[in-house]
Amino acid sequence: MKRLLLIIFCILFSASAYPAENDYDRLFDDANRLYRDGQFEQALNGYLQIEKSGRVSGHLYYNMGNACFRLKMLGHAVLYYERALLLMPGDDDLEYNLSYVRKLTKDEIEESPDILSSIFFWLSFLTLDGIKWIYLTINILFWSMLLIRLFVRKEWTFNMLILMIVLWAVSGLSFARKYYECASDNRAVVLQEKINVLSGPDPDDTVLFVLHAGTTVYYERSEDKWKLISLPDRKRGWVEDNAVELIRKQGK
Amino acid sequence: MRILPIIVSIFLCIPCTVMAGVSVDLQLDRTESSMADTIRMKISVSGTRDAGEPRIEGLKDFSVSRGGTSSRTSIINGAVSSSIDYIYFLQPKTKGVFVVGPAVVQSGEKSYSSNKVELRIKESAASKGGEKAAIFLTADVSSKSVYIEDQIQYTLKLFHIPEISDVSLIVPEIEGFEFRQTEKPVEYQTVYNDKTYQVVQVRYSVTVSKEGKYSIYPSKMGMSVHEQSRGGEDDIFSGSIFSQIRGSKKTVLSNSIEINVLPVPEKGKPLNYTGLVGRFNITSSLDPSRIKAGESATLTVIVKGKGNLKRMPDLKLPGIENAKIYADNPVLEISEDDTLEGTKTMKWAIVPEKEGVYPIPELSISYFDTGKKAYQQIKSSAHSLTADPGTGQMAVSPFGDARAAKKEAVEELGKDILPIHGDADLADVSGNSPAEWLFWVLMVLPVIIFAFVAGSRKFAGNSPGKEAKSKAGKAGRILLKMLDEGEVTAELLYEGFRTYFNERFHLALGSLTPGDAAEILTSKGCSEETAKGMTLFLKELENAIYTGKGGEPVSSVNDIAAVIKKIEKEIK
Repeated sequence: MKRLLLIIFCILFSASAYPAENDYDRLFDDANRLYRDGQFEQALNGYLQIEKSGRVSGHLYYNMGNACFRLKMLGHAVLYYERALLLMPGDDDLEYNLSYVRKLTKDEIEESPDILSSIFFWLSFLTLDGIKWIYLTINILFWSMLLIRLFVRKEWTFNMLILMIVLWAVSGLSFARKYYECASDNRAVVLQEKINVLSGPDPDDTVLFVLHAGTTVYYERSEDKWKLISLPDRKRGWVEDNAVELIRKQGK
Repeated sequence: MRILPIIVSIFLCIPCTVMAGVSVDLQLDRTESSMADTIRMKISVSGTRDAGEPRIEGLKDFSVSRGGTSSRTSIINGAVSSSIDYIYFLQPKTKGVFVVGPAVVQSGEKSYSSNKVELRIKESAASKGGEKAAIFLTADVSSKSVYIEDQIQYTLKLFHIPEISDVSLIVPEIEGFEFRQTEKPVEYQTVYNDKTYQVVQVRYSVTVSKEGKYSIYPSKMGMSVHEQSRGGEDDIFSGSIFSQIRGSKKTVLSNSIEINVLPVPEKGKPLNYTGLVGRFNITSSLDPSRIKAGESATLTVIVKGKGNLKRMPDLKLPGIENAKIYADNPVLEISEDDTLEGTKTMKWAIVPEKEGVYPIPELSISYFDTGKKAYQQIKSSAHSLTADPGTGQMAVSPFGDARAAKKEAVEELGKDILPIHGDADLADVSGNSPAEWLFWVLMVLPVIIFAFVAGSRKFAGNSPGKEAKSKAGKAGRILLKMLDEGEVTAELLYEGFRTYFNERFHLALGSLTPGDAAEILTSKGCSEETAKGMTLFLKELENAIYTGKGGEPVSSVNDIAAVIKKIEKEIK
């Protein structure tokens, strides 16, 4: 009996060996306080410490974006705002700030219209997790309705089943589309004030064009310490590895 | 005759009206000048034409010369108004800050005083300049270091000796700098490097909305120059009378100026800071402070100052319990002389619904004081409104119907990002979330459950044997029900028997003969007597059908029912 109590005691208190969730909240509050006091660099360090622990949120990335903006790190500000947008699409403050910093970027790049994105317009307001849980709920309701229909062959069950089929198909397609969007999201942001895009992964290669901080590009592949990037207008070239950073971290 | 005294009274009243509004106003064309400049002073005396020459104080450091007078009389709203303007030119004797005025006029036995104006006289610019051309343009700013959103004065002076006309001016266009002309061009005379120049001065207020170091590029002024040219020495027509005036086009550029635009500090920034920069003060009044319940009192808050007035927020009066509040449209008045100066007047009508004392909270506003280089918060006074028992009738908003208020486009005055968020809402993304497998389990589970239930129904609940058995069980009941329903024709009953045999014994007979029926019944365990009884009935039915009586009702339905029941009991 004593041994059992000892085991329970150990299990209960082993949790205290790790920083509790409250510790990260406190760290977040401290960083916010530093930000409000105008100590943006220290505030950013605090936010980065939280991110490093693997605990993230849209609000964390949003505040990181603000701190970077105050530190005149336009590229990083865009990067963190974009990351925040992945986690909390539709947030008014975030959309305002992102639109504001985008206006400050120097490169004018014309995006080609995406018909599928226009059809699935609601996806821009939902995260992958959000869509996933909506699809799950509708899936459960759909199969439940099928079960009910097996036993109750009334008109209302028929109508409900038709409705559920439509919802199930729409949510399923939405989930598939969002999943594809996330899986194939290779957008990256230019972090440095000004970068030369070269014709090859060598500093001696020809400079094809120049990009500035905050511009969104598409990452294609890496070679040594170089990344191949492209623009919507089919311009392509190589940049140094640390010149751009992917918005969606790989594996997330 | 009664009308005569009225007419006399009206005539007697006219001079009284005229005399009643005597006022004296003193104006200088500039409040800042150099020792070499001539300043134009205007003293306007309105309300009388009988006043003598004004006596002006504060002019002992100036040489004064008269520039003439002008008088006018007008009728406004039925009232006669007379005024006279005295023009003087002042030439400073020394540098310093002087108070010019008041100007005092004597009208009848009364004397009237004007306002005073502060005049700052600087060292003459000639002392630092070199040789200058006959026409040149200078640019100067009130400060070379300025906070963002603050304003500076940008002054252009065109010095010219020859006569000029058709003057055009192009001020530089710089991103983040907004130039606005603050006053009409002023012309005066000055001495520069021992030469007498005519000066045209244009003043702009410049609002800066971007931080950093900037250069205000030279302004460009174009004009037609009219120089007096004389003929050669041999010209018999030489002489001032015959000199010609020649016009030529000329463009002059001003100097460029470096400006350092500083950001307002983040440290100590109040929460309610809206980007207001300058110096402001706030006053408030409540009129009246004692009313009856249902009546209206007006709270007036006036914010007055100098700075980027358009960033001044509209204050919000918090709700007061048991009182209705009607906000009037705030009025922003910008000084005509100086666009940096102005007042914003905000009014609220407060209508208490019950008797009692209503505390009216103080309202605050924050701004960045460029002089003190610190944020300042100013607050209006707190007031108290006393409401006595009322008449029971609620007052209407004195500001009228809010729906009829004139709408104005919202002007964007500055840009910045929105503040940080306070909620962390952190989620651990370092490992695989348990929600991931839970999702897939919950996705597949309903499919499995459905498949299981549907499969069970198909393979267990609804197997062919059971279905057939169920049909067989029902077959007898269906036939008996048919018999119970009353008159049954021979054709119908015969068809009923065939169906009964098919379903009861899992057959597929196209027709049923009495012999077949007896054989089937015997094979299924029925007694010979029962089989015989059935055979007889079937023969009877066949007879009826083949003799053309198939459509007639069968009489012996009760006996048939008894046989069916017997079969049901006997078969295995």
